[in-house]
Amino acid sequence: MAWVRVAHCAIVWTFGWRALYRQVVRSSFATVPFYRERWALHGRTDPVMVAGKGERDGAVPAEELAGRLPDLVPLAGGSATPDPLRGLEIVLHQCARISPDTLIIGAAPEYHPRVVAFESTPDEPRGHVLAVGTPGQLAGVGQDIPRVPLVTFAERGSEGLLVDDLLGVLGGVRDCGNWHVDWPRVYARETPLGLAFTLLLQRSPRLVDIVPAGASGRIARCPQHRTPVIAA
Amino acid sequence: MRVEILDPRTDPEPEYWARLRVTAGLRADWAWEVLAAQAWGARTVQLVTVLFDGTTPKAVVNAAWLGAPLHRFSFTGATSRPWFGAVHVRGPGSGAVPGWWLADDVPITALTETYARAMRRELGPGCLALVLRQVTEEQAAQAGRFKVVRPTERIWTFPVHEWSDPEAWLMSLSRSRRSNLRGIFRRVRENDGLEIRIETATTDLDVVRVIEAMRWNDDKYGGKLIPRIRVLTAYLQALVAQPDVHSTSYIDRATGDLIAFGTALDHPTVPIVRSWTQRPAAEGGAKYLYFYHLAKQVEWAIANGKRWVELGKGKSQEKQSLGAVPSDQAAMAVPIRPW
Ligand SMILES: [Zn+2]
Repeated sequence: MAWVRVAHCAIVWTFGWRALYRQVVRSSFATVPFYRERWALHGRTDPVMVAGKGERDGAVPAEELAGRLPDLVPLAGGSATPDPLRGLEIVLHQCARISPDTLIIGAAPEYHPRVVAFESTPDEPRGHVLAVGTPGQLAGVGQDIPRVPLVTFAERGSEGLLVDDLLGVLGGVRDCGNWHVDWPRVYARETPLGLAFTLLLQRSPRLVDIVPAGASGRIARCPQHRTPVIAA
Repeated sequence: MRVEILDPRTDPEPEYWARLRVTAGLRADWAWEVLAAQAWGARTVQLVTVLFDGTTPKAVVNAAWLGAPLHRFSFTGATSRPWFGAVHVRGPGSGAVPGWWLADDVPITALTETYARAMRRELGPGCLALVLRQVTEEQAAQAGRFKVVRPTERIWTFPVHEWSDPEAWLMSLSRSRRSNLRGIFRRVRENDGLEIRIETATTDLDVVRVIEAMRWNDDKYGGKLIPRIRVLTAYLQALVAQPDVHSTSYIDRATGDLIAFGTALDHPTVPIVRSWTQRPAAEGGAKYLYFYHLAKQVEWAIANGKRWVELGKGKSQEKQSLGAVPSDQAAMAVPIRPW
């Protein structure tokens, strides 16, 4: 019943994804000081993002959040600490072949049983090994070990996972060769500043329409997986 | 009397507003952009009402429409209108000052009758009561028969007009407080690591840092059930940018850290010392800075010919020891006739 799944994906992508985003925007406007201030005090009484309305379509450059993390906590309270590896457990599995027996060197999902740090990598690791880390960290790992680089927008090439200190793991290259967004947990939108990302499931710190440095590109649909990808 | 009800979030500043502020002696917290920022950051609908005699404003009232459903954890919606509750008259952004002004020839019944009826018309039959904060005994006595009056925390004021110069003020204090203050002045004078920056109408204050500092106090006073709403950066930005607001930053020269911060809202005769926030002692805060700050406000007020300096509620012992006098305050609730 492949066509059912395809149709399902298309419907969820077209309606559900955006509806979830709108819901997060509404709730952030109602309960999170940072967005209240930013959207309301710039003359917007309507929190729904509309192209051409508000300042830069409502997008926030990531660097403007420096020192503002406590204002991203909803009034009801919550954490003000971002998780730079948020989403790793899901995206890594989509983008690399991993079994419970895989020995992961570097960054691994919390529950993964076999993990070692870069410093304590065995000289001759046995079995299936995978190194996950920033290009700098991977430089010290033996050439023959398979790897998944964690790259920022500026470092983005043709492989790896896309990461941001605030937003966590935003997506990664899948077997189709496209940069897949961590759909549907992350919403991505084109704005005059670049691609703006929203974490749809993270309550606190609330991150809505954040543009990481150098986040250029378009949002398209992968012809093979029929879910959103970052093109160009 | 004609009545105009305004929502500062969405209504533009009325053309008569600047003149009305001067006539009524309304401080910077009544500047329209400050009211707008305050209203956007509130949990309840904030309404500003002006009563006119012909075209002359005769009274102005700031109130929160406190009603059900009550939002504990969210700001008020742009179009939210609770369907029953009470109108809570208080100073914008501070419950320590009255939220209204009446021209000399207007009795307080203009509030309890004309204003109350106008609110009921505007907010619907669910508007059941009017609550006024910072009411004096005489004012309460003049209001009609049906009312509930309860004493609330006293507010403190420096009787600056009684002191001809700072020395006269110091001499009016207890000997121990006097020598303590002289010690504090010396300590601050000799402390090269402390920078004191006084700014008026500033647009380049690092408000993010100040808000962070204010959080030390919020965490101390905030309730568990109803969280204290944090001051929005834009509110502070709008407030300190007013030409009649003086902000004082106490900064550690070595690290650049903000140790303490205070604002004063000027007024021809009665300025008000508004916010004071300082780093906890464990993080380099110093209690003596509070005394220093108040002493400097007294000196400034004497030098500028003010009559009183309002200090608000709380820290009674400290304020009294510096020569402040208390005044009794009450909250008064008046039912609003449903017809
Ligand atoms: Zn794909």
